[in-house]
Amino acid sequence: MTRRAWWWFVLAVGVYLAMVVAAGVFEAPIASDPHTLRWGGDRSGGGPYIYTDKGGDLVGFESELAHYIADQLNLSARFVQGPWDKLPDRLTRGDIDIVLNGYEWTPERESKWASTIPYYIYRLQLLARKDDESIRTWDDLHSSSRRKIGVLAGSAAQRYVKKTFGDDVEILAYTEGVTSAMRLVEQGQLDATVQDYPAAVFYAPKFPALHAVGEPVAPGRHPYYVIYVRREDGDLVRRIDDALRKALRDGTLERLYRRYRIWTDDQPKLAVLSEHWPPADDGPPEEEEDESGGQSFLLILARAAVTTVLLACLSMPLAMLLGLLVAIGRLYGPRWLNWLLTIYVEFLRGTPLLLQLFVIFFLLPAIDVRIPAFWAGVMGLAINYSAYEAENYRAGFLAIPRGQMEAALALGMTTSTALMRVIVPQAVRIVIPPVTNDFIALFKDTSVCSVIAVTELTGRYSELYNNHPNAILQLGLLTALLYLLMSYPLSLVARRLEKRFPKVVA
Amino acid sequence: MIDVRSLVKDHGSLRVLDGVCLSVKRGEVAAVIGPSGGGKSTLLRCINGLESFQQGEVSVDTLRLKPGDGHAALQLRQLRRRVGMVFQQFNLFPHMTVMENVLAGPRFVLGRSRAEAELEARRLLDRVGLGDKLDARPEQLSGGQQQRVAIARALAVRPEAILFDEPTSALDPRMAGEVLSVIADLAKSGQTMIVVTHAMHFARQVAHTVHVMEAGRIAESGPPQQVFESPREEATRRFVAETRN
Repeated sequence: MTRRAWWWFVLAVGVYLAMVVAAGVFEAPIASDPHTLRWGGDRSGGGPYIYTDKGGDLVGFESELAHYIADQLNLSARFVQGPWDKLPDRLTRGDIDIVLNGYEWTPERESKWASTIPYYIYRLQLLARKDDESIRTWDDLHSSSRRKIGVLAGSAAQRYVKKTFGDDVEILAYTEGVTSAMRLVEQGQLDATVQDYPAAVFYAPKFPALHAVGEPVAPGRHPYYVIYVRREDGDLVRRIDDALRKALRDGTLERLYRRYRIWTDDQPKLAVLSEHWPPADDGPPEEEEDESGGQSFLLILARAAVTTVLLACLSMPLAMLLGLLVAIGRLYGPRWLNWLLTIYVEFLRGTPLLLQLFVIFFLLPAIDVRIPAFWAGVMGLAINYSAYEAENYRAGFLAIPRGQMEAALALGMTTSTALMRVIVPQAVRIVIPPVTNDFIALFKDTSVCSVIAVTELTGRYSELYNNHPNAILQLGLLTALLYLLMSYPLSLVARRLEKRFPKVVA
Repeated sequence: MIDVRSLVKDHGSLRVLDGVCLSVKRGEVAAVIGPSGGGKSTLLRCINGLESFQQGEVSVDTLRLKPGDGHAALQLRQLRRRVGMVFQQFNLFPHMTVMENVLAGPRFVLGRSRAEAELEARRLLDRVGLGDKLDARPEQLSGGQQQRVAIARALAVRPEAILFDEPTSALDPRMAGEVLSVIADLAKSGQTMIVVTHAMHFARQVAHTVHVMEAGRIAESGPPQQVFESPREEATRRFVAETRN
């Protein structure tokens, strides 16, 4: 190594170490500490649970409840943000001490984590557009036209709708908050949404086109929000239970809920429940094989894998075609086009796929462009990958000797004929290896589509896992196996193609 | 038929062509010789519009190329259909068979059907001695064979003239001989051509006119006899003497 190269190397290592230190400072998990109650929630889930007000402060009835409990326990409350459906996992990992965010009590969860006494009894509210005459009662969902119902992924609402209406409705589960589904109903992409009552009350003023349909219903026998704690922290459970009982007795809880206008006639039962907790296992388990309806995990996951295959196989050819056109435009088009397409490529490569999907799915309806979730996913993937394919093709074109184009032109071909007959066929062969790699990468990127409620493999996996937390190993292995089954044949095909077209350029 | 008048081409600050004048009559075989870097290849590339020039004019029959970048696309195509080109590096299309290479012009330029053009293509490949290689890929052929396919490919659109850009420089002597004899055969049949070459014996025996190019100018033109035996210009004398050794 030359002296100069050596200094560059040392500098690079130094910068890397500096970044490690920075990560240690900025990305440090909040450490467990005997004077702190780390409570986990998802503020993007929205009001009235946990949300930030205009000043950027954390508010919401659960935020206030967390501070009340911490005060009673002589601890200081520290909020830890996490995606709602992953909060129990963070609890298991030890990143947080309690999960306090509208988590319903289920026997499945009870078997893995310890629950406190309930702090709220919820009901589910059906919301639809005011101008939609066809949905005036819950029973209107039993219709032959298969209404599209949006729900929060992994929520009690999802289980309730599935159990009650089954195949009469099409259920679309969104991981991103409550408002996505409400917005989609307002925009007409969904027919209705089922939300927990507090959320329905809170967001009513923000979605004036929607109204509550029918009475709020209690799903199942145990419609309770509880706080989850690690099983080994039994002492913490007892102290929180005491704090909650006190709040029930002295009216603190009622005042809090009245302030947020979520106090209902159900709530007085909380006091009774607090004396008999957890509920005795009476009667048959009500949510037996809820999601799967008796099907095996493998069948459910395989069905989702079909969606993954369709997403990938429909979007990749579009991406390749679009990429080819972009590359041709950049190399052989006029200067202004080259300029425009360079921006296209850099913009798409420089922004996350997730964001692009959001724009296509949630923002395009604002200009009256409505695309079903699946096709929005295909479009998003195709557009995103077209930028990478354009770069592959550009490199492929540049690898073809100039003499090829000259020979074609000298024969009297037009530039477009020369491209179609001479240049593109050679470029396609050159780019087979990188394009196949991208195809495999795209296969895995299809998982991003779960944010717009396309139930592909990863989305289905986390849904199943949420409802069957004990089956994590089985589910994880099955899912990984399915991905491998899909991508490995691709690698084999790629290898064969490379052999079939040995380097054609002399 | 081909008329080049006072052609000037600059490459940045370098003047590659410095007022070149050249005319070639129908049926004439013109050889362009001279030291490397004299502008011979550039001249050919300007004639069929692969490169632009700054001053002067190129005309082929009634078609004219003017200075500047923006040759009208249609004009260029018409000119190239009349004037074919054979390159030093052959530039065969590697993804096509020998037959498909020869058919490329008739099919994609003249718009003929494959069946229609195949008979003619076979005849051309027979003529260059490759009638048994129709389905071979370029990579399976020797350099000399590739260049002969390239000649057949150029002939397949029935050009009125062919420009040969150092057709044998990338070949060893034996293979060069094969290719030169094909070109000589074409010359005998009355094909108009301009051949940029370093093969002096070829220029001497086949060409009707020899042009000596040096430093972007034509130093001397004349019948081979005169240019080789009694050159009038110092540049020619020097070049002829060098190539003897």
